[in-house]
Amino acid sequence: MSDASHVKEEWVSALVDGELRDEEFARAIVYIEDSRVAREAWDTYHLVGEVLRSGKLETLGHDEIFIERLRRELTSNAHDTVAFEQDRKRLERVNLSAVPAANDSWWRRVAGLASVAFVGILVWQAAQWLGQGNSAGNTSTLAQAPAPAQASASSASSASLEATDSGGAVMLRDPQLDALLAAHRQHGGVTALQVPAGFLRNATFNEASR
Amino acid sequence: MTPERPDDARASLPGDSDLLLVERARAGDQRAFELLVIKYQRRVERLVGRMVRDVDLVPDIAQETFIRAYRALHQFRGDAQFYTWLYRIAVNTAKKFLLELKHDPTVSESALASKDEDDETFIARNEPSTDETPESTLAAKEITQVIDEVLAQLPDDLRQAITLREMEGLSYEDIAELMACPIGTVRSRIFRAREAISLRVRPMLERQMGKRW
Repeated sequence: MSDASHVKEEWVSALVDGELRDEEFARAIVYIEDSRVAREAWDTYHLVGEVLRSGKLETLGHDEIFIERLRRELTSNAHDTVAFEQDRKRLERVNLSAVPAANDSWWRRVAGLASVAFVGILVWQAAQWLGQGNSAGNTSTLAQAPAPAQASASSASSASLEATDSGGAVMLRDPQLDALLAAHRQHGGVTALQVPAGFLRNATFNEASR
Repeated sequence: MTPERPDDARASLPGDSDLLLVERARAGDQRAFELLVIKYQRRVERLVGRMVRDVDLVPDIAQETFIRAYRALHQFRGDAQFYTWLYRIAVNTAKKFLLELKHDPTVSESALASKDEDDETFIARNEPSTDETPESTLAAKEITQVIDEVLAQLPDDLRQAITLREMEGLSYEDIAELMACPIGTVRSRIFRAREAISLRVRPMLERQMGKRW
């Protein structure tokens, strides 16, 4: 056995043990492919290892006819395999995992925020509607309140109105009424009453104008 | 005889070349895949032979197994040993064949094994397999005996090197440290030990070629 041949045979043995790397690894594969003796050595070394490890032999060596047939089959289907491989690589390039799915956490957060915003809008709308309802209630309260003339008719009504005023009711001012009061201060004005109540002032004025 | 399992003692050693060959084959080198086929062809055929009673179907199913494996190489992540992965493909391929043949009226029931059998249970209950003959069993014993004899006759350094590698599963680096010699020397000793054994075994293997194991 020449030195070169010896080295190559040694590659086969080292390849069996997974101890070849890089250049030697690649050259060993080419050598085994080209040499029937090398393929037999590759097979026999595995067989020897099997016997040494398990103490028995359960399989024979490989079948060259089988290998040749498989090689033809793989080669004839190479186009399919290559096309499949290209599809796979294309999919890998797209990197589907980088595209967030519909159930991705980012989308879930967006959906959650949208839901909260929607509920917020509903609450705001409801609050506005309720606020309008209250205002309408106040208005109707004012509308239903006895007219100042009626209120001044009885002290009980005045007391009631005074109480309403001290409870923080909104005083509606009438510019014409104010002008009239300014012209007839002897009949109206807060100073005419003990309690500086604007609403009762109007009542005082109405009482005087009757 | 124990049922064949993907993780038995005959499975590859850690640090063997399977993963390297798979990576190379995945990169498009069909020759690397052929080395795996050479290594595992008989083992796959033996496994399939235990699932299918018609021995003529075995090579076809084995070939289909390797074709499927080749196309699915990108799915092999190396988490398990290559043979464990191949074993599963072989079992599934055999089941598929059996299912198809079951619907073929030209195939007799005796040619089929039940596809519903659990793999391991099936194998265990059908020992010995139909592809074994007294002659092949005897040949296997003879080969095993010869390997043991040659191993015993090897010089100490060669025997120690091959034993540490094959039986203990040590790497070349570990063996070099244990034997206090360079890694290149370890590589050479293991090679020479293998060659010495192979010289005696090859003629016996050639006599068995063409015979069903």
